[in-house]
Amino acid sequence: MTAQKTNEHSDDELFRQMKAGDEAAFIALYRRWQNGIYRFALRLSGSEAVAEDVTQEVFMVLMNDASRYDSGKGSLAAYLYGIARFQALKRMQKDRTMISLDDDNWEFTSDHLMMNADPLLDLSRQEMVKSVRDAILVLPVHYREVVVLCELQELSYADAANVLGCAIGTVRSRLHRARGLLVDKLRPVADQAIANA
Amino acid sequence: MSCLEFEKIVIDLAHGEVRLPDISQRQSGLAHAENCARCAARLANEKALNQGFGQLIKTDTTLAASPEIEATLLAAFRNRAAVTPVPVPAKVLVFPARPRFYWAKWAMAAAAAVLLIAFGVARALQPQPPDKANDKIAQQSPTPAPTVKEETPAPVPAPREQQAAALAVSNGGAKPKAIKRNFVPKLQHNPDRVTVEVGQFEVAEPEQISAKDFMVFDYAATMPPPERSQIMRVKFPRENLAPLGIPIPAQIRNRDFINTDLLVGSDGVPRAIRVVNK
Repeated sequence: MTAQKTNEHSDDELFRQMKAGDEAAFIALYRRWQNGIYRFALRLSGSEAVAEDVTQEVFMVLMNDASRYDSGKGSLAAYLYGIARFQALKRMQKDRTMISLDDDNWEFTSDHLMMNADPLLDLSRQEMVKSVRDAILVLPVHYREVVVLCELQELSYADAANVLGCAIGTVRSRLHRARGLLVDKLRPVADQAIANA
Repeated sequence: MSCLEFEKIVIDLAHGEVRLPDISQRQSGLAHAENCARCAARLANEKALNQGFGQLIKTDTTLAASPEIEATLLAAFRNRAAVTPVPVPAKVLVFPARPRFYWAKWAMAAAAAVLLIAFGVARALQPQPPDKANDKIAQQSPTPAPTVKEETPAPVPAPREQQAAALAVSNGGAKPKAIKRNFVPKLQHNPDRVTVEVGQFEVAEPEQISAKDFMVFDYAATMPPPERSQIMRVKFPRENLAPLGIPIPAQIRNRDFINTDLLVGSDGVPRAIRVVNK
């Protein structure tokens, strides 16, 4: 029953049914979104424990505070990611285990536009994945969350802006800077990979 | 297209059609990259980064929250469903469904009215000797009972019989038609009954101020007794009163609106109700 609901109904339909007390609708929503929420929290925090807690908390909020969701203001996905972001940041702030790149002196210069010969393309898959993951995790939080939402969770700029509570232009500019930082961070790794080849 | 313009679209261009659906913009961006080595390198970097993201997404597809979370949430959902109030519980109440502010508003209005009444009564009684005061009270026309009645001090209320006798004597043995009601309601916490101690009361119809007719609301049975309380007269539509399980006397059963007395705590929450047979 639950599995059927997952494919047949839209988020808003399931949400309405869940609000009316339909357990199957709630489970269908959970199964539809838990992976995305879990990965988002994991990529943002780098901690499985935090990701699990955040996932649980997001759906507890959805269950207990359903009236706070307004479909006119954005998609259910954006609403859920918004809760997840809040919970994850709260946990991270509490744990204070993350290290951020100091971007105070970072400026986008023409050097960022220069390319070393075939820079990242030659990285092996595993190395690339690990490097990218690590590089994202040391980004300042406001850049990290944009990268995770737009590039890894594949949300539109509008949805990401909705999650973050900022303008689309802000999302774009943060993403621009974040990607520049990532290129910088990953360049030595790419160079090393080229040298080893 | 200039390098500056190219820089503005390079990230979307690296994503292709999905992020940059405008074909002409895409084509002019790619054309610029063909003629500008720096921008071509920039585009290659962004594409490489996208490839890295793609690999990360592919690797993470198996990641998911543990099944225990689903079980926990399911249990919470069922538990929540079990405690969610369903329409109108057996004996009483429409009140929990209403916001508390509704009663707080009434309580505030009642408090204001009570202050005015108390002030007026204090002024009327102060300069006169007790006999005159009683005479004056006894001569009052039998006006309908005030909507809101409350008074505090009356430290030791006399038993009803003594008061009735005292009043009867002071009135020359004649039964007074009516006196101004002056309750000192005091809620005795009891899940079955509420006891209201009576200070001064209307001798003409003492049975109407008896506390025995009060029915405690179900939810109030578990609440601590309020420090102070007051009685408010409220007209209820008959159809709303019936589900509360309160017996309505036959002579007023055909009315659309039934007069009731609500015993309201100082917190604004009604604790008990009774039907007024008039």
